[in-house]
This record gives sequence, structure tokens and C-alpha cells, in this order.
Amino acid sequence: MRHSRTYTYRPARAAPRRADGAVPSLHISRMRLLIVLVAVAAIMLRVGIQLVTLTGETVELNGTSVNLRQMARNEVNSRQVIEPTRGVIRDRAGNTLAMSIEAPWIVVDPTTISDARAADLARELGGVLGMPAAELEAMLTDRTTRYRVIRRWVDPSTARAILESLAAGEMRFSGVFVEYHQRRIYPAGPSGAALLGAVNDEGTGVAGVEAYYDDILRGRAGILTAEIDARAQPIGIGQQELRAANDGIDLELTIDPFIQSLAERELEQAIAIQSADGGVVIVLDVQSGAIRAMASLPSFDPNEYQQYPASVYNLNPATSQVYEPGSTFKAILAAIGLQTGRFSADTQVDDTGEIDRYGYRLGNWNRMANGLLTPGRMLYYSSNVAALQFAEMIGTESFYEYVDRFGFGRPTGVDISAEATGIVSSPASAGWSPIVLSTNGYGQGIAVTPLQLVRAMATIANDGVMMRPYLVERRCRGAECVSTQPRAIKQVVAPDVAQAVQRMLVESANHYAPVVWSEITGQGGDTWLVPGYEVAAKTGTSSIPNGRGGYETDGVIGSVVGFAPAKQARYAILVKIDRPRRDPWGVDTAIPVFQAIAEQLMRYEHIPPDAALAGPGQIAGELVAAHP
Amino acid sequence: MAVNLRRLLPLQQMRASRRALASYLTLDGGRTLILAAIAFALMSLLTLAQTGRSATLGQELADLEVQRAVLLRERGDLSLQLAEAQAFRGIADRAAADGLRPATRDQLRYIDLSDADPTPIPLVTP
Repeated sequence: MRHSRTYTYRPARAAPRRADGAVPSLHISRMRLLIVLVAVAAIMLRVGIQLVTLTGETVELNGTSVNLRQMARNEVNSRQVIEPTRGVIRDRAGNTLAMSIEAPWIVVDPTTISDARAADLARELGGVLGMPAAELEAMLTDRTTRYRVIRRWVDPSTARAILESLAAGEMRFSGVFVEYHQRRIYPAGPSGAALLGAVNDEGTGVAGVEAYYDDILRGRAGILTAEIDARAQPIGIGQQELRAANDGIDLELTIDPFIQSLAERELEQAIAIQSADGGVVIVLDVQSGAIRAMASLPSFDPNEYQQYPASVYNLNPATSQVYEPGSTFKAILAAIGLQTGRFSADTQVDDTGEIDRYGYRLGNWNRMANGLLTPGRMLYYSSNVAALQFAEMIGTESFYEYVDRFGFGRPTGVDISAEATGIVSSPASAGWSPIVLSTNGYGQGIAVTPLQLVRAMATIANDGVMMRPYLVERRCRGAECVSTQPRAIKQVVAPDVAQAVQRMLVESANHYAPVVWSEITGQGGDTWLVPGYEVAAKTGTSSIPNGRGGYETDGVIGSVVGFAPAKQARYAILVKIDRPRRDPWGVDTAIPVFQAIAEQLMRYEHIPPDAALAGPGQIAGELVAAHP
Repeated sequence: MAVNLRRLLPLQQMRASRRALASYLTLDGGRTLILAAIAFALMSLLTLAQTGRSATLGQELADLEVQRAVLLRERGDLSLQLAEAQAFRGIADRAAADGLRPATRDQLRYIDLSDADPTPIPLVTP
């Protein structure tokens, strides 16, 4: 009955009846029920309040005030940084030059390892890591830290063995952890190291392309905010907030693997033969400004760059170090003179072997007179006295204006970090005197980077048009790529001027051909440096400043800069050898390197030889008709 | 207020029991409470089942993430092996070890195709 105030309870089974036959009844007062309910609710409420109060309390834990609620939240909630993968660097053929992989570290928490266990663990670890057990035991028992890296970058199979053992619940490696960190790998080792640079343990590029393009190579880190389980894995049903990582952009360089390998091999051989201190070879695509090879020694292994002095891995000798170009600069002098009209290709000056200027006696390398010389002959004989007089004919203002137009004294803008500007004194510079112009004419008293000089020579090869040198051909995110467009900077000299200098440089190159050919042909006269082709080149021997206002007496820099073929040139090549021991002038060392590279490049580009351009004893390569 | 009970004859007792049974089954106000409790229990069961399923899926997802990380590492290792095998210097060294060498000048033959017949040469002779 809904309106009754008491309830009759009857059990499912028949209750024993009273003697009078009446069914026994259970009377539960509604008030009592209510009281019990309220009491239970009150107890539960109290427990709840107590729990909430407890979690909000701040307690002392190990001498530190800790808010329990915050502590619990920190225990469960996690904010994980998702590291982006650094972009891959490839050469123009698609070979990987730099890539990032996840590589394992072996770490331990010494506070979880007892002394008794440390000895066993040290033996086990020592066996798989190849480390002395005593050294490992000392590391395992030093409990001053809860995180100790036993070894970085272990072999993946070693890490897998440890992980499998741990997963199987074995005690062999109990207390050991395997952590994975991103590691930059350079599969080709030291090849191209100077231009690639390196990446430090924090993932930052420290030199070369790695440093220049660090922002786009490194990508953007992502963040995952989530509740985690005991294994630090995000709980699927918990709240998660994910900002995905953006991986770095891949770079495809202009470097050609064949040409780079060729340049490195020839340079290594020359330096080994001469016991030289080092050297540089640059091969530049004349028409685009793309750098096809940039080799330098001493080099380093970017995989272990920390083992080398900072001066070796931080500075690319091709772009960051300057030297006095010596006689190679005379080609620039000739171009400036013809462009400004201060002299023509027929103008002659008297080379007396020595000449006095401003209280100094200046002279040719051998102090020998060559008589009346045109600019072409000045290059042919590499006459300092003639160059000095031609520089003076140009005059200070025009000379330095064109030195600037050729890009000396300012960065080329190449995409490599730490590019040097070079040192060019001008009348506006402190301490300048007129003798500076005279010596600058033959390439002393002015400092340039190898890249500046080869670019200037490429400008002459490219009929006077200067191109911006560049090293990155394409930037790719997945399949989407952006190509670098070759950029002409300016017309430095007129095409006819450039072509006139090109012809002069062919004679200059052939003048030095006997360095390579005399032993083969048995003849010491001028011949073709590369049989079958007209190749342009100028040699140089530069003194090395001693830092005290003078020059070193026991070493020189031998160099050659030129291009091939001379007409419609494809490649500009610079070879520089630092302090060759057996060759007092350096030229005899640099010319064979230049010759070998130029010859291989002509073959590589399938440029057919001209049989008429071969001297006695030379073979130019046979030209066969397609339909005899 | 208690219900007065009185002694009844067996037939009357049966009739009274039958009448009381209906009252017992109707449960009066308690019926709603029990239904609510059952509904609550069912909802809890459902929620528990869903939570359990979600947790299982979450665990599977976490396991897959771990598996994915392992596979990515293996891919990285394989890519590295590939890159090392494709390094130009390595190829050149292997070629030299196999006795290969660049052609000498007298071995070179250049064929000039600039004025050759542009008609394609049939691949299969009739």
C-alpha cells in the first residue's frame, strides 16, 4: 500500500509461524532507514573531504616542501618533447652525405645497484661493450648520481641484445637502461667534410653547410602532453595534446661525387708526395656558379669532429682562410687594364728584372729581365716587374674599383658558414702607401679566399659575367623541392676583354705544360697542357706573411687557377698547395694536379678532343666518325 | 504504524498471501529505487566495459608506437648501411680492388654523332 507508513517484510521462504498462526512481520521504521542513509552519506562525505584535503596539503619530503596534488599530477602528467629528424644532405647524384639516425646509449642508475651486484653487472657489461670490468665497476658503485652514461653510440646489435635480455626478465643486465638519441652520421667519412661541417651533441650545426642551413635542417620540435603509465608510455584513454614535430628539410648539394672524389684524390697524392702542410681544390661550374667540388686538407672525420682542433673543423680553407694570390692575380690585372682602356693587348712595358719603387727594390722571381712585354707576355713569363708597371698604368682609383667589382674584399655570398672577406688595402685604408698598388699588381699585399679567386677566374671564363657561387642545388620537404636558380651578379668586364684574357691564359697554360709533359715526350718546349683541348691557366707562387710585417723565408704557397675548355668554358679550377717541401716554387706541385683534374673533367663531360691540339708525343684521343 | 494481523482460516490465509504477494511485488516506493540501482549498475558495467576496451586499445596503440619506433630505428640503420655502400670512394676502392682502372688516353674513342642520320636504328632485324 503506497499510503501505509510501515512495511511488511516477508522472506521468500515461509517463516515459522507463531502459535496463533499469524505471519511474523518485520517492521522497519522509515525514519531509521533515513538515519542510516544519512549516516552513511556523512561518512562517505567525510572520507571524500579528507582525501581532497590530503591531496591539497603541502608536506615535507626529503627536506623539500611538496604539494601532494601537484606531485601526483606530475607523476601522471607528462610533457614530452618530440625531437624532429634533422634533414638529410645528399650530393647531386643522390648519395647521402649526412643523415640522422637514432643510436643507443647505455646508461645506469647506480643507486639501484648493490655492491654485490655491481661486480657481476660490470663483468656482463664489460663483455658486451668491450670495456674493462674494473672501470665499469667503479662507475656502477659511484652513487653520487642517479644517471650515468656508460657508453654513447653503441652498436645497435649490442643494444638489442641488452633490451631483449631485459624484456625476457633476465637478471644479467638488471639496472641497465638503453636510451636512444639522435646521431648525425656522415657515411662518406672525411670526404667533403670541410664543406659539410659537423653537428654537435645538442644537434646544432657547428660549421659548413650544417651551420649555414641549421635553421631549416633541424626542423621544429613537437610536444606531446599526456598522462603516462609506469613505463612512461602515454595512456590511451587519458587526455592527450599533440603538436606534431616538423622534420628538417633535406638538402641536395651541387657537389658531383665523381668530381669531388677526383679533386680529393689528386690533392691527397700531391700533398703526400710533397709532404705539404695542406691544400685546396675547387671546381666551379662556370656558367651557373654551382660548386662541383671543394676539397681541402688537412681534413677531419665529421663523425668524430671533437677529436680535431677547432681550427680544423671550424674553418673551411676554401672559404674561411685567406692567402696572397701571387702571380695568379696577374690575370685579373690584365682584365682590369683592358677593361679600363689604360692599356691594350699590344701595350708594352720594359721588364728589367728588377725595379726600384718607394725605397724598395722589387723584382721577378728569378730577377731575370724579359725585355718588352705585352699583357699576354706578362702572363706568359709571370713578370712581376711588368705587372707592377701595368698596375701603375691603371691607377689607384680604377684598379681598386675593379678589384672590388671582381668581388675581392667582400664575401661571395656562398652558402657556407664563416666565409672570410679577404683583405684589400685601398687609399682609404690606414697605413696605405703607393707601393701597395705596385705589389698588388702581382698579387702580393692583398689577401683573398680561394673561392673569391676561382670565382673571379670563372668570371673571365664566362665572358665577363659573374655568377653567385652556391652549394645547395635543391631544398626538399618530402617530394616537394625548390631548386636554386643560378644568379648572374653583374657584367664585370666586357665579353671581348674576357675573351682576350682567355687567349692569353691559354698560352700561359701551355708554357707550364712541360712540367707535366717533358718526362713523357722528352721535349721541354711549350705544348698543350691537356692534349686535344685549349685550357687556360695561370700559376702563382705566393709568399706567406709571418705576422710581423714581413714574409716567411722557409715556405710558399703554390697555386694554379684556370678553366677548361678555354672557349665556352665548363669548369673553373683552383689548386692551392700550402708549403710544399720538395718544390721551392710550388708550381711544379700544383700544375700536375690541375692538369689531371682538367683532363678527367673533359672526359667526364664527353667533350670530344681536337686532334690538332696535340704536340709531339701527345695523344689527344681518337675521334671516330659515326658512319665511316 | 504497524499493520494489524489477525488469524485467518487456511483458505483465507492463502487469499491474504496472494493479495500480499501483489503488494510485495509492487515494492511500493522501493521499486523505483531498485530500478534506478539496476540501471546505474548496467551503466557502470557499460562504462567499465568501454573503459576496459579503451584501455586495451590504448595499450595496443602504445605497443604499436613502440614497435613503430623500433622499425624506424631499423630503417635508419639500413639506410645508413645503404649510404655507406653507395659512398663514391668506397665504390672506387672496390672497383680498384677488382682490377678496374680508368681508360688511358690511347684507349679513348670519341664518336661524333652531330651529323649522324637521325633515323632510329631498328632494335630487331627483320
